[in-house]
This record gives sequence, structure tokens and C-alpha cells, in this order.
Amino acid sequence: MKEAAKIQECTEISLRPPDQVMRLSRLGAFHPTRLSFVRSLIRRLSDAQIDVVPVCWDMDANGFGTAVYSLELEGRTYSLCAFSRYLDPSQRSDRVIAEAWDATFALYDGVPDSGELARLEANSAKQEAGRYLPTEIVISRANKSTRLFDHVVQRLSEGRQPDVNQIGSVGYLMRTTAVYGNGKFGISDRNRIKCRALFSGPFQAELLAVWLIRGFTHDLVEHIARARSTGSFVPLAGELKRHLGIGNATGLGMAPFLVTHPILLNNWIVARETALARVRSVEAASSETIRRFRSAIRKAIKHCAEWNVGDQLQMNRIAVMRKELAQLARLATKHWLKTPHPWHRFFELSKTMSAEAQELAVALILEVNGPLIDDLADQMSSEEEPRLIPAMSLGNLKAILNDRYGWVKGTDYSDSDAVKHFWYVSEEKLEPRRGNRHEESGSELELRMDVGRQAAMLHTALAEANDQESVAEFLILRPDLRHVVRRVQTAEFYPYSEIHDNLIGSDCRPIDILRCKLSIFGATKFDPKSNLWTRINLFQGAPCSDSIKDSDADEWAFPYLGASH
Amino acid sequence: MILSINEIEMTMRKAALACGWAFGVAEEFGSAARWIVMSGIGDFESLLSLAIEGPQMVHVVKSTEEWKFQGSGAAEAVSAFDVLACGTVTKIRMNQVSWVEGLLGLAGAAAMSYGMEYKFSSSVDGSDLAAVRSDRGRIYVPRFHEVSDVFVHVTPLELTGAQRDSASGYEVNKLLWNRVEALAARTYVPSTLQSRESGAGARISDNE
Repeated sequence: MKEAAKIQECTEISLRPPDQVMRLSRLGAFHPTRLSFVRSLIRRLSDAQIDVVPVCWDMDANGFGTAVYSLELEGRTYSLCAFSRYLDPSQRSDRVIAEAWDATFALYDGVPDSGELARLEANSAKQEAGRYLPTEIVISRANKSTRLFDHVVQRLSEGRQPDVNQIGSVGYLMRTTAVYGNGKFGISDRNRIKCRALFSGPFQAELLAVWLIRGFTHDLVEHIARARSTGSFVPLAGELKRHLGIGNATGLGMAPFLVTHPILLNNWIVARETALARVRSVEAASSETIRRFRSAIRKAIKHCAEWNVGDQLQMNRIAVMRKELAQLARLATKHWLKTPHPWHRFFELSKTMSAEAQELAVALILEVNGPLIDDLADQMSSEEEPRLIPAMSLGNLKAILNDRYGWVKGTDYSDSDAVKHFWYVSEEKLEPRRGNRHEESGSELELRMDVGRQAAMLHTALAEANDQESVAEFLILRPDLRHVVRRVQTAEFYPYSEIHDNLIGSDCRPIDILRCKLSIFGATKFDPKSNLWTRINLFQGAPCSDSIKDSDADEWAFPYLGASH
Repeated sequence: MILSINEIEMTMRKAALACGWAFGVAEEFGSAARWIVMSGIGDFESLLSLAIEGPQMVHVVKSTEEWKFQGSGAAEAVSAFDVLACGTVTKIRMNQVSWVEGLLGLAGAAAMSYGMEYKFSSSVDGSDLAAVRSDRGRIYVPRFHEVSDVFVHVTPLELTGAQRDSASGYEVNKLLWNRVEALAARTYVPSTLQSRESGAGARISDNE
């Protein structure tokens, strides 16, 4: 840790500037790195040598019933309560507006007794319409992959392993369609659990629940197959099991979070960019690190070869990236990496390539430099909230606006295309949606995703204001600008707190915001279904509960079928 | 009913938005509701009343001695607490105080944000009415209810943010909560066939 800090002090290379990093075209090309939240979670669980114990398995032959898994950590017990039910196929939908699911879950603080289990079962079946208590840390639900689940059951019951190509093309048995934490519907506020070391990092509770759900899907598919034909049943091969992550289908709901949590966004990006700067500053790499790096490139090539999606735009990007990655692999020979500043030079090599390849290059050089950067994973949370600074002079505010929001000047907000979209919460199950301002009603209720437009309005208002006047006096007459003033003041101290693009313009692709957030979570195999909706895989290749204690538990980047763990 | 602090803050914010407040001010309402329930001074019915009054133009008379705000609605309160936090004005006078707990909630939100202790005293006899800090402070609510004209001044404090977290959630009157939720629901956009089919980016039954 001390060494890493020292290296940071000696870092010769500065962070990439916000104007380069915070563009949607860049954020939308991010890949998971070893700082991603799933990686830090697995490291924590492995370091703690946890045991996941199935304390209840009450399932019928069709796999409908209740399961509870418990684990102890830091003197506390946490339990994943899983409720599996029959779901009419006509009701199976990944949308928020769905009313029923194949399985619902609660991560419980402690071990629930039968009364608590009954309460959780009744409420979790209703998800958003249920009511919960602070003993529930996370609630979630998932649907079976109709492409894969039954196939795996059938094959295992026949004594055969599932078709590898099908495992590869889908990658999960179930998809979560929402994972709720932090006080939603009465569950525990983050404040209540953030002092626990396990949950001090962002989204660690939610991702712990997802990791446990993944294990449940493995057990469930084997249970049903065994019940179907006990005599011929074979368990799922370890390698295939490990390759089965947990799917997630996600839409717009994820995107506003990055806008409503500017300090958190800043801290996530600063950690990533600081890691990159530290690694680029390394003067020489050891033979062992070079060996591991070349191995990581080979894995990444195989991983990308298995990344196939229906979306033509994303598929084209993947195709270009595959070629560029092969080119990087050819150039980065053992000899080439032996010369000074190998990671900086590797990064420079990628700079003429696509954003996808550049960001994959970032993930690769971070991957093999864990001791140098892993401490940064502990700096990705924030207890700070944006605060107004009422004593600031308008002259100072203007200067910050000009310095941090220069990207706003390229947009003419009187142009109808520049304000084409509005983001809103639908009354229908509060599903987040985006509409066309010029064709649909409801824009008067839009969410504050129009940061660029707000900043432009502030710029106009400040042009005629007295530089000596304080923000407090200014806001007496312009309370409508209070929110954006707070944002601008925040950006002075947190330069990576804003996405530098117009999020209501006709050319905005919300999928880029989703990709940024999900990559920081650690998602892989981005599979866009539209500009507003994507499927992903979480924990693909990650250790299962039976291998979480292994010494190589952290070695699961760039998963591919046939990888030897 | 038992609620989480996140539900209280976010729903109150939406309720204020529905009452016509600008987003930045609605955020203060959310923080104020949070401060009220966490400090244990009561519920936020009074804050809701302040929100329902809706935004109004702020009238202020400035002098070197003090600034006098005509009224004590949320717009005046938020402005007054901002101005005091600047340090250039040491005393502010507010009259027509009617929603005491709501006013204290907004002071609590400002105290949390600015690291100040807001002190309220009677402009008639100078008696102390409340000292609001991020962690609650000293509040004499019964006496405060008898006064309609107050002085407010501030003392800088080190930010502690030390509020009482409840392990079992926060009890809120169900009828009050229903009113807050009903207002918040006005910020949701009615669903149409078009928004249902194309607004979320997935098909109606995204599933395979």
C-alpha cells in the first residue's frame, strides 16, 4: 500500500483530461478492470475465506420452493433468501413493468426464522409493490434464460453436459431484471451498513446478492435435472459452471444515477485514471509481469472472439477491436516489453485505434499491475454530497463555468434536435423512460438530465450579473438555477463529475451511459438491444462458492470457454 | 408506517417539485425532511405545508444592521440561510412564522450543508427559541410556536454530520405519508401506448 502511494507521488504522467475521458463516445467504450466492483468484492470474499452454507433447500421436483444460503463475515451473518415459482411464459418479461418473475430474492441481515421467511416470500413476490424492513439489505428478481435453462436441465438429466456453444452464446442461466438497495421500499438505508468493511465500497451489497444468486442458479438447474432423472443425472462440469455468470437486462433506470451522483462518478473515474497514470509511469516490468501480461492478451483475444451480439453497430466495433487487439499482441513481444516504460508505450500504441481497443488496452495494463493500483478500489465510494457555496462570488462561479463546462458551448439549445429527448419516470410502475419532446406529452415533468442546457442557461444569466455579488444573493432572484449552481461548484473540486455531452440531444445514446456504469460494476459481454437497453453478464468466470478460497481467486479477467482456472 | 431515510428524502423532494418548486429548492425540502426525522423533532407535516404554499417572490429589505425578509415561507428561509452562511450579514429577521418545524427542517438542511449552527431568537424579548445543528441542536418547539417574528443568526461549526441512524427505520404517520406520496405521484408521466412500446428501449416482453 505504501509503495503504491509512493509511486503515485512519483507519477510522471498526468491523468487523461476530463474533456477526453468524460465524452459518451469514450465512456461507452469502457471495459471492466480489476478495480471494477465485482473484482473488489471477490477479492474481499476470498481474503476473508468465506463459506457459503445452504441452510435451507426446500424445492419440489420442478425447482419451485425456497432456498436460503448464509455466509459469515466480520462477525455477522448474511443470508440470501431465494423464492422460485412457476411463471406462465406469457408473463415473463425483463421490463420493469413486469408483475411476476421466475425467482425473487432478498439479502437478509442475519438468518431469517420461518416467520421472517414467510414475510419475505410474500413481499418479494410483489417486488416494488411489497414492503420491506431494514433487515433486508437488497431485494432482486430474475428470469430464466429460455434459450439455455431448459437445455441445461435436459442435458444434465440425460447424463450429458450442455452444448458448449450454447453455454458460450448465452453465458448465464438466469437474468436479474432489477437489484434494489439503499432504502428502496423500506429496505436498509446504505447509512446503516456502510460502516461494515464488506459494504464500505459502492454496490458491494447488491453485487454480493448477485453473486449468491448466480450460485443459486447453478444449484437450481442441477436440482431439477437430478429430480427429472436421478439415475442418469450428471452434475454440471466445473469449467462450464464457472463460465455461467448471471445475466442482467437493464434499461434507462441505470443512467440517471451517474447524473444524480456527480461526486461518486468523479471518484470512480479518478480511481480508474489514477490507476492508469500510475501504471503508465512504471519504468520497467519484471519478467513475471510480462509473462502474465502476454497471457492476459491471449485471454482477451479469446474472450473477444466469444463476444458476439445481434446489434450491428456493436458487432462492427467488436470486429474492429479484434483486429486491433491481434495487432497489439503481435507488437507487444516479450522483447518489446522489456524496454523502458512498457505500459506507457503499449498505451500509446493503442491511441491510433478505436475507443474500444484503447479502453481494452487500459484494462489489460491495469490487470497485471494489481499491487500498484488495488488500493484505489477503496477510494471509489463517497460520503460527500454536492454542497452549495453561497459565499462564492459570481465572478468566481463564472470562471468555474468557463473552465469546467466549455463542452456546453458547442451546442445550440434553441435547435430542436438539441433538445429532442426528455427523460422521465412513467406512472406505470415508475419505469424510467425517454420520450420525444416534440411528439409526446410530459416534458414538463422531465428529470434533470439536461445538465448541458442548465449550464448554458446559467451562462446566459451570469453574463449580465455583477461579478462581485454572492451566489446567495443571485439565487434569491434565480432559485431555478440553484441546482445547476451547486453542480458547477461541485465540479470545481471534482473535475470528472460530469458527462461532457448533451444528454437530451437527438444524437445521445443512453446505452453509452449504461456501458460506463456497468463496466465499472464489472459487467462483460455487453449485448445492446437498442440505444436504450442492454443485456450483460456479471461474474462470468468468477470463482463459485467452492473455489472462492483458492489462491488464484482473483485471476478471472477476460473469461472464455476452456479457460483453465 | 416504517420508512427508510432514502424514501423520505426522495419522496419529499418529488412532492416539493409537484408543488412547483425549482429542482434545487426541492432538493432542500428532501434534505429538510431527512433532517427532521433523523433529529427526532417530530414529523414533517409542517414542512409539507411549507411546500404546498408553493414558490413566491422573495421580498427582502437590506440594511447594514440586518436583512429583513417579508415572510417566512420556504423561499425566504432557504434564501435567508444562504445569506447567513456567507458571513457578511450577521442577523436576519423573519416575520409571519407559521410552520415552525418546517422552518427548522430547512435550517437543519442548511446546517448539514454549510456546517453552521442556526440560532433562532424572539425579536420581541430576545429569548432563545432554537439552535439548529447538523445533529439536531437545542430546540424549544413549544415556545417557538408562540412567536411569529424571529431573528436568525449563525455560528460556524465543524461539520459533524452526526445524525442518529435508526436500525429499525423511521416511523412516519401513514396519513401524512399518503399525502406526500400523492403529491410525488404528480411528477410521474402518464403512460401511453407509444411510451410503453418505445420509451424504455426494450420490447414489451423482452425475453428469450
